[in-house]
Amino acid sequence: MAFDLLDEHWVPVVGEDRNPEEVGLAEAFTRAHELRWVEGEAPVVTAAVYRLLLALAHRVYGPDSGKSWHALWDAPCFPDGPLLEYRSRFFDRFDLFGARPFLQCPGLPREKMGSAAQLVLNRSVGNNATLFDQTTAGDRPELDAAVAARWLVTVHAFDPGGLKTPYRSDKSSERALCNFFGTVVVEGATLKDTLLLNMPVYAPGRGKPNPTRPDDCPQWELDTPPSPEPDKERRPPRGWTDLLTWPSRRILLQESRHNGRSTVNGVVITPGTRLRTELADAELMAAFRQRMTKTKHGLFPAGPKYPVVLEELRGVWRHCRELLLPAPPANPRQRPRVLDHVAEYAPDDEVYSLRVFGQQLDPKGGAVQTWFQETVPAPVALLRVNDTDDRVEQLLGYAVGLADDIGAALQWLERLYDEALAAERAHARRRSTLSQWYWPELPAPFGTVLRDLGVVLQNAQTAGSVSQAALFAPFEWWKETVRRVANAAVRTWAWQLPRESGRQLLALADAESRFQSRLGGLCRDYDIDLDRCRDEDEDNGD
Amino acid sequence: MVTDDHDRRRAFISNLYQLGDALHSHGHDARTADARKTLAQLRRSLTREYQPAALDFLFEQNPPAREEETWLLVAGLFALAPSSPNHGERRLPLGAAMRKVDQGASEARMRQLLSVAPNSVAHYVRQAVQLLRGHNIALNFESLLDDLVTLSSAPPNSRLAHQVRMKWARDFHRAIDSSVHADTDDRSGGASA
Repeated sequence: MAFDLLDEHWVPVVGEDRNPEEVGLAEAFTRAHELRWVEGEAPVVTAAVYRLLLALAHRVYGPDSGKSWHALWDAPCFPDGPLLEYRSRFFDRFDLFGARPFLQCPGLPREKMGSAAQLVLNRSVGNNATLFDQTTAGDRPELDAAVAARWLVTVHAFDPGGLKTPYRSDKSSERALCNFFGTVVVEGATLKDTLLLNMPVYAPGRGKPNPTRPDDCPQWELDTPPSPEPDKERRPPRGWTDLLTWPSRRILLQESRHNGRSTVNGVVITPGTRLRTELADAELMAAFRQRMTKTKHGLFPAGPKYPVVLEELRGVWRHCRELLLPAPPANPRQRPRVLDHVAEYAPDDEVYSLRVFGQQLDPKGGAVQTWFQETVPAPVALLRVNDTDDRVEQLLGYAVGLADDIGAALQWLERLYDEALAAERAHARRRSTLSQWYWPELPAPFGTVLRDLGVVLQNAQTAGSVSQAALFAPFEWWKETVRRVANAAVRTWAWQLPRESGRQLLALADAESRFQSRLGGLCRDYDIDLDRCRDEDEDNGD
Repeated sequence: MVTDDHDRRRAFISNLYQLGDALHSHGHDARTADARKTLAQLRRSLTREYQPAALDFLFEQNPPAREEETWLLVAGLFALAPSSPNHGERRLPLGAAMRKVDQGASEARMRQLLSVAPNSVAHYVRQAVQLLRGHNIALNFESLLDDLVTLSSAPPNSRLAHQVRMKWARDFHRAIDSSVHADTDDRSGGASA
């Protein structure tokens, strides 16, 4: 029985009426102009489905030039012709259970078939103990074919590393590609806008986007399915769509039929192909940063480029410079390369959202610890900020630095309190709790700073110069906001503490008083930094 | 109304301060004698429940009914230490005033004061006031009255009660901050991430 992913409903989207629904791959394109966005059951599913849609979109629509991109952008919807043509060529490659099962390896032995729960990353299977899932090793859950299809795509992108069922003897596997970075998706008003915003010019014949080769294609277009043998030797990607559909694992689903409905009741997952490339050179949906090294000629970026990843408490907005700003030469940061064409092509006054998806594994890298999904506003004016005007970068750096310093001061406050009560708390489990009332309160106001900054920069483009007062205003407001958030966090934290004894209250008051002193100092330092930035501007003006 | 209550408290404390000033008014022997007598009555009210003269003085001040007991306590406490601040100094809130006393003794008393149940606060505040009188430190009875009114009306472990006790503790430490912790000490814990 067929489950054709082009027609069957399995892609989780949010429709025009903001209600969730499922559509087929073909419908995702034909109705992209009226659908809002992709929304899977977990952030990793959303990210993986976006990557699959982008790979398919590139192969169907290109666009092979800036002109083609504009033609697609200006069109009310994606044209049907290219999709029909593509479909006629690869009609047999999208069946989940056919002779050439989609993104699977039919050569895997069926006797190695395990529980279908292995496919769902948050299910409790083997050593992968999770907190809330109640699946036991003896359970043989059956997954709906649509659910299995979503997790099939997700496992290729996000499967943790560690030991897998071997095809022959090789059990070890590297964590799948998207575990190494926060996956950034530029989101527009409709799914069509979103797809195009994330589609740079794609012309394999001309090596675009770099490093794409003429033979680049997603896995399903290859003449033969992958061999069940894992590719331990590592290989570089053929290009962007190869990377978007990177076969981190060899997978085979086992179909079961109930009342004319297909389900999946077993799966084999074995090690797949290992990647050999400098990630910063190949991955377009991630931001990177490099360490600065001091030489006698000054500070220069050196060493490997580290991808920006999401953290449990501190928001990804802290990496706003890496995520948003263009990077002139000798700069230690690299924004997601998909943003370069957004900066070039998108309308001036737009503010898009960067949705950043991530997965945190346990320290051994073998089990999922948590998933993340965060949003950062991306005003186009900020994406286009003049490379020579480094004030924006400096100001954003000071703003993030202030939040970091105050965050560290809050930790110091907790330490002071703990030390003062070391004797009576010796047996108490020390757990840092203050940060949880601080960091989560900052993304929204920082979004306001970014949006305000976008307006200032857009006005500057019209007026021909940046108003100094307007440029600094969001950053002055930010200082007051962070100070207020920190004080509120301290009040909430203090309220949770035991406060029966005078010793506890005095220790708390002492630590708090010293924190206030430091907070004042940090805010003064921040003011000095802003003033220095103002002075430089005046000097340059002179 | 809150504002009205607040104004009445201010007027009451102002009258108490005038009583204290009258103790030292030269050339007004009758006024000084009256003040001394009233303060003695108020002082006795701390240990003996029914003191007609103290109650007469109290009701002349027009206290809100729910605050009568606290006003009488504060009047008695003032009578214990009625001295005015020295020239150029100001009256200190409880925490800061305690800080000015020798550190070992005051910290122990402060700890007790912060720990006790609401119905025992009066006893410990009285001890604190006696300690301050011994060191000739003038207490700000206005803020003390506000705090005691809050403590007497707020549920024992409520946020309001906690805020009052935290204020005393903060005032106590703020005084330390200006004297003991240099700014360099404050910044030594490493602020950058």
